[in-house]
Amino acid sequence: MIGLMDCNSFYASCEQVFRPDLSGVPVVVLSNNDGCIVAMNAAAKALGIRRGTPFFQARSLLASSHAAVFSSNYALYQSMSNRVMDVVRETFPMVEIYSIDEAFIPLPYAVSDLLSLARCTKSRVEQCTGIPVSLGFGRTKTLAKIANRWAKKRFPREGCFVLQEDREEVVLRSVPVADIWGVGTRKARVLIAHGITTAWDLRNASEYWVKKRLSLVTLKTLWELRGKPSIADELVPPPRKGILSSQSFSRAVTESRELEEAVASYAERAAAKLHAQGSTAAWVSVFITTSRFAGEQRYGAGASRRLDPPADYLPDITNAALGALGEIWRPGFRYAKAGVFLFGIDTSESRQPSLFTVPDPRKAAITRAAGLIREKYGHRGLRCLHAGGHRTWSMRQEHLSPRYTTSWADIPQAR
Amino acid sequence: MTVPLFGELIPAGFPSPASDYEEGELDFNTLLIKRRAATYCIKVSGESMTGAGILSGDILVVDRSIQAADGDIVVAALDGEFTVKRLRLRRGCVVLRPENPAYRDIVIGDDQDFLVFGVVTGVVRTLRGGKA
Ligand SMILES: [Mg+2]
Repeated sequence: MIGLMDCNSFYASCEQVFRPDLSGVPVVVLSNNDGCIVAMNAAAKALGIRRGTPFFQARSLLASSHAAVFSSNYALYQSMSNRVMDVVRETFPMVEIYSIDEAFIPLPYAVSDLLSLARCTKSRVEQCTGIPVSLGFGRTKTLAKIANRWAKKRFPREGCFVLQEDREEVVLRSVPVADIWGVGTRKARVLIAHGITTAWDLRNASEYWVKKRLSLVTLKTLWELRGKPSIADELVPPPRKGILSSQSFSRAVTESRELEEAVASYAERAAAKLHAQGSTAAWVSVFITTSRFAGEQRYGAGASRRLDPPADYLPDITNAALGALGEIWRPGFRYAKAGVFLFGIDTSESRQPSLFTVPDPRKAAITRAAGLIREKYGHRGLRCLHAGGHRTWSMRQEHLSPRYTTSWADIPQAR
Repeated sequence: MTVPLFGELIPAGFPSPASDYEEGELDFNTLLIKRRAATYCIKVSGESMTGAGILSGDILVVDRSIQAADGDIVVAALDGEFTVKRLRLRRGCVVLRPENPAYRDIVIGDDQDFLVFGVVTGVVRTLRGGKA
């Protein structure tokens, strides 16, 4: 058996944990730059709001129903995600994190009363974090996904479901192919055109036909529906190979000075992460792209600079980033996004002194002092001159909630 | 080019007789936090708990994993706001008791939105130069 734990309306739930005044109130969370609605709670769903709706379209409905609107607060969501996963791990030590709000739970051994254990885990997660979750178990990942949906739909209060082999036919017969994990709208259309409308139909389809007409991926889905695990376990998360800091701009950026300002500020964020984990980077890479929308002249490019010796010294990183930017910057384009990627990461312990380069003690001292200033005054407490300016390009986050669990200045208050 | 690095760079001198016994320094996290995933920090605003040694501006260490019992100091969500009070459970009645004679007991009515957020397990106060 394998399980799938999924947080219900995750982003909206995170916002509600620290806002008891929002119980029963419609809550929506917006994407980067406050563009679209990416998450909503049950009350917002009941208003007829759907995922992906542009914010401006739903604006008046949200206002008239006194809904609470939030910009994406990734610092909060990641912190709450870590907490949820930690609590799940207390019951099920093998947890394979699949996304910020989903995790597979492989069970290499038989569990006698799995449903009780699942219920226990669910209530434990809710007590410890305030985040409601659903758990579904099945013989494969694809069946676990189906069991999870089933739990949400058929047992919304209980939120747990174990799909035993002898119940698979009943359940699979009521799952439309488009709702199967890994079957997109295009594939669903092909399947439906050939009379394969439910998960049960796909399970009983011809392997040969599926592979020929669709793909190996769909064949794997078919095997999974038959109870044969065919999607690899990815228990060990890939090691962090680099540090990325990038963002879409709130508006098109055309001036090179503004692009430099953005790149310098991303370099600053990436360098702070690098310093926080006690590492150095050997390479700094910068990329810029124009918007993907039609009617615009498209351009995208990237360049890298080497740091020799590898460094965590912000001015070195910023200079390298701005140098790389100079190589790829072209006038006359409307840029939509830029990013800085640090790679060739080396942790302090494994780092060895080079024979021919003596580390500059002044740089180390400055880096340490900068770290202390940031710790005390936050990320805005110290900036590189390059990153200064008016920052009118920076991401629009007009409805950002406090970072309740990761910033001392933002913790909730009680009377 | 790099060379292997050994623990003792300078072979001169005597090793510390205590080096085998070296331990990690005291860490306040181990004292204050039992379960990191369930621990939240909440700032006190107001004087209602001064009698329990909880002052305005203090930071509460709140553990959500503990089932609140009669007599615990809790952070509760009451009518949409967080409040810190002592929890009293008497004859099927839930009372939030301030620890300050200037404040009154709050008897939770059936029509009130009430939920225990977590149990207060510690109080942190910095006197000088603390960041919070
Ligand atoms: Mg979810």
